[in-house]
Amino acid sequence: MLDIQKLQVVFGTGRLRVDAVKDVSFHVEPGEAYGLVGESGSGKSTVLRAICGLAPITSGRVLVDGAEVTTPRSKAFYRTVQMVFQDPYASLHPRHTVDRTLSEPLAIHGEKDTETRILQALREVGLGPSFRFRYPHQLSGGQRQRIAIARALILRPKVLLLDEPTSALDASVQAEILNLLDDLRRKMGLTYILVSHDLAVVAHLCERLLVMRHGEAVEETTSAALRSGAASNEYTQSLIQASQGFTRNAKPPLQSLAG
Amino acid sequence: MAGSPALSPSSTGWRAWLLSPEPHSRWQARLGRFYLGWRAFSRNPLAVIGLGIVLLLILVALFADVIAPYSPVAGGDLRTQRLLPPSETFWLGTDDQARDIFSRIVYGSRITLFVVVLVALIATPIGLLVGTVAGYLGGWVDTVLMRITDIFLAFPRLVLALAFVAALGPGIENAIIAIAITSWPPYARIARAETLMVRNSDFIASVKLQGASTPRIILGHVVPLCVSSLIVRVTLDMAGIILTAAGLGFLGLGAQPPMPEWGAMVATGRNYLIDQWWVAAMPGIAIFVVSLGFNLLGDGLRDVLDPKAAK
Repeated sequence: MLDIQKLQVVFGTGRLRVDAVKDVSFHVEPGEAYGLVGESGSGKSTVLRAICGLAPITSGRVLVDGAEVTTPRSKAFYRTVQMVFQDPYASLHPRHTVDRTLSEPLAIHGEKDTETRILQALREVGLGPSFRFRYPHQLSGGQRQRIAIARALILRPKVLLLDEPTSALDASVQAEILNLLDDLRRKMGLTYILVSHDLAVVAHLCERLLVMRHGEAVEETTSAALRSGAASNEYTQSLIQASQGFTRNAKPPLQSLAG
Repeated sequence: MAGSPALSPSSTGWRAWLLSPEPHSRWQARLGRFYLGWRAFSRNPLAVIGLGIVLLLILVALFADVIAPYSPVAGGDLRTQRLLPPSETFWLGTDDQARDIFSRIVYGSRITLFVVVLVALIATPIGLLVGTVAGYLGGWVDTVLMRITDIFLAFPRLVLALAFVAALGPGIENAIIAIAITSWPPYARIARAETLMVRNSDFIASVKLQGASTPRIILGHVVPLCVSSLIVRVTLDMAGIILTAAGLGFLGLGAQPPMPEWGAMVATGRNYLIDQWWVAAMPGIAIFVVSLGFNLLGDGLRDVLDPKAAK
């Protein structure tokens, strides 16, 4: 479904040059959920933004459904690939009602039956029709993220890019949103790419995952291996250990983590 | 959250309908928002006074024919009715042409309103468009548009207006055009600043990812966020616009006699300032009150619409 080949993303030139992503390759099968894990600044979000065109592709290829993406992206691309952002407080227009937010993609792509599709989209993410004419400030964080998911799904895309979709929410709401995403994937046969720094979230949602660090792919592994703690790479091991929380007599963290 | 204040459970009827957390239609949601704004606005008594003055100006301008007891242009008997002090027959006195000053001020409100509305209608969209396009597109478009704005900003408003009127000839229409082309640059600056704050936000990125065209993003998503601070600024500028128009009239470059323009009226009254003070003072008071009204209204609107204070 999605093929990333030797992707490289560079911001700026000269002394300001930042190599955000260096030679990252991975392949995602249709209907699969694929995770990208790493610490802050590891380039995992940049990979996502490069796929959908918010960041430039300096070199390498991004193939969706076997066809290389064009810059700027075509309307057909946006019907296939959609994204859910990290912070639901920032990803909804503060002056637009839910109705306006959801009808916008339909209007852009000239879709009919706005009315029924909005109500259906709300139902899919577990919200009733009473939410339709509310403004974002009348919604909780979890409800906002549901609206963001509904907006991403209303065009019936095949691939959903999830950029830390739960990290701005509190723990109980996180679980709700993760379960919702899991259900939706099964029901609609969606392909996910999930970016997270939280190994538990990735292990819950994804079958395979890629560990990234300093813009490079460190190791591709499975969530089963992650759960059993069987990671071949030293850095992945230290991530697993870090995700188990603070323990007083744990081994001192690897020097390399501080970098 | 600022938008959902403590709702008293006893509120019923239309108020409950307006403040319903679950609106049933686009209009109900919009009206509810408007009502919350009005509630915040009406808590400020000075702002309400300002709004009252502006509404009064509009009403007087609309019903000038009914309100004014005499003709604003044709005078009375030049031998007996010149420069009469305020009395029961002539409420605010008469001027050197034996015209009733009250009637002239009433008709003059039409000219003032005409100037204010036209300047707002010309300058605001230009400033809004230039600012949002420059801010959103960035790069060389931003540089070009903002340098043009800088050039216009570098001219003193009254001097450019004077030059413009001198070139096109005196008259109220030319004065309006002159004021309009000198008053849009600050609006462009404000709109650009607001645009720069939102252009990299996630909600703009997400509408980009839905495949929206650039004009659609600017008009549908960026402009609504700039409008409120512009409304405040334009309202506060209204006083300045009225003063500039009156200044041009005073210099004989704006409205031409016998139009009852307030600035021109002050100019004629200048000759009789010591002995017949009311000829200059009455239109002067009118200019003062209307300018004050717009300023008070602008202050009140800022408290309600300021995007930094409102969530």
